[in-house]
Amino acid sequence: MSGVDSRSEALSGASSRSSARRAERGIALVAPMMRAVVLAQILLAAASGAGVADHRGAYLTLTVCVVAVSLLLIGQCLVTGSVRPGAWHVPDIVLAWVAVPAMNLLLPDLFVVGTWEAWASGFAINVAALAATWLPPVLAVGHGAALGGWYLTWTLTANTTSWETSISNALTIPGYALVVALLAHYLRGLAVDADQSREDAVTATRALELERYQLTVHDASSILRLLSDEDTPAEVLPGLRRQADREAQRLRNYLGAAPPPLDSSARTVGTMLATALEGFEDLPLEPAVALGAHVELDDAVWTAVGRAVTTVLHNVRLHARAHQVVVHADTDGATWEVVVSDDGVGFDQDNQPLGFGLDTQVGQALRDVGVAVEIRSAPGRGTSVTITGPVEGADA
Amino acid sequence: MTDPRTRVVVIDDSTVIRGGFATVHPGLEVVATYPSVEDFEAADVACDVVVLDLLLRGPQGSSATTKQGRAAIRALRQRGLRVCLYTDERRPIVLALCLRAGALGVVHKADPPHVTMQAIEDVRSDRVVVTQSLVGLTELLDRRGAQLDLSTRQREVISGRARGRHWADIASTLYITEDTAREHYRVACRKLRDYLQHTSPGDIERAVGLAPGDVLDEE
Repeated sequence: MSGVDSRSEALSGASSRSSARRAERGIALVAPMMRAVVLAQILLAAASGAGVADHRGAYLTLTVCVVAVSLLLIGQCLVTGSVRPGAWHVPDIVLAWVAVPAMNLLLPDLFVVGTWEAWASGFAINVAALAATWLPPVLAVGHGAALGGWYLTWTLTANTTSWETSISNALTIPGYALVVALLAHYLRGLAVDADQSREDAVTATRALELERYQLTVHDASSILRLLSDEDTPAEVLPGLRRQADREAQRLRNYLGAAPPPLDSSARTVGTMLATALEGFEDLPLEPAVALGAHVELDDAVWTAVGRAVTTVLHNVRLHARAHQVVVHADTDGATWEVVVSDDGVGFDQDNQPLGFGLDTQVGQALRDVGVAVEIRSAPGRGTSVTITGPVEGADA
Repeated sequence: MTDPRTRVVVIDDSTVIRGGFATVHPGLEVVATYPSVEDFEAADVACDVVVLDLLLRGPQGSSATTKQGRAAIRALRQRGLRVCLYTDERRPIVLALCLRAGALGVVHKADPPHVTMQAIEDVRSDRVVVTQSLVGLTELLDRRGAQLDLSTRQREVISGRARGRHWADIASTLYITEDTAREHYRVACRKLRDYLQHTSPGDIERAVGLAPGDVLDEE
């Protein structure tokens, strides 16, 4: 149960740590802070504004509505961690559109531009900017431009300042909408990319783990298949049992058991092939390794090539129906070579893709340790696997 | 009308092989079978090739009272007979010494019937027939400086065969026909036998890497 719980917690934690979620929380934190600053500025000037307003009650009512909607905005953002769901969206925009002409109508012309008693301009800028966090970017910028035009129309009507100042003030509204829209869009895109990258990494890790698992169990599955097959000849069984024991030890190591002490014998092509050929006495083996047996190999290469040869021999046993399997080793001093050839049924390399054993356990695993492999086969002509690598310490 | 098939005598201590050889190899005319060389010598039957088991046990299961291995080969050669070994023995040095003793060919009991029949036909034509382990030995001797006198092409064909490569594969790699590749191979096998027959045991030992006396012991 504890394992299930911990996996559940891990999944939950991974969900809350997603970059998209964190980006939304960040936006939902900045938006109410911006509104709180504007709200403070409005409240500071509200008493003075009410004092000079032609219709004090209407001015205060409008201000209270703005405060109420702003408090709703702040609360909802902080609670939900997002600006997207919001009962405040529409009222906020409506209030901005109403406040702009209201300041002209309620306040003396002297206060309409350049004062916080006429808080509509500051509020409109903030509304347009926050709308850009939850509206689609194009719509948000369009809305900002329209609201800016609305503001310009009414300030020009007041005729208390130059048209240049009025236009400059009005441009602030779509300008902030544009900046915030770009910022929010970029931030969300960045978060999506980060999440996608993380997902890709997880997928790649899973694929690697699966490949490692397949590498680990491929030969074991061949052995188990033959052991469980009642038609497997009795003379094959002793070799299979020795191989099964070796595979069992390897699987225990894979599952975390302490590996057996390393064999201190020399890591040569000869010892590698002697180990790889163990248990294949049922195959018509023709070993000819004298020319290359003495070549010393790196531990990783020794293990990888040994496993590759074993995999090739499992394939021969299962599929080739061979009368002869030659295992040949040679060296020219700079490189060493191991060839495993059978005279079995072969396969069509052009139309029949390599199986996991030859493709991954032989090809990929050997390339990973810097060893080249060439596989040649044709129907009726058997299969030949040539493995070559550099001799350690030899001049390139 | 005479039978064009190769006439063979089978000398093998296994009753099953003596009884079944003709059935399994219908392309050969098995004129007689014997459990020992001595029985064959007593019967004095004419044939093209003697198919000889390398290890012959006597009536009590002992191999001490009958002609064995190279002694048996030499006895048959002295009678002017072509000998093809029919054996499970795969150790190259043992088989090489059999060639040295006069055998013309070696074939394994596990080989498919068509391989065995072809080998016996080749021996009848005085061609040298060797098994895979002897091909490996040929390459080993050549690489270690033995005077086999192989040409470059013969060396390349032997190298391919020692690696178990198919004739078609070797031929395409060397840009020659399969028949040409086989001819190079036959000549190389002949040179191997000539080398073994004309080289001192000490030189063979050195070339193969055996301890002094290993070859001489059974001479």
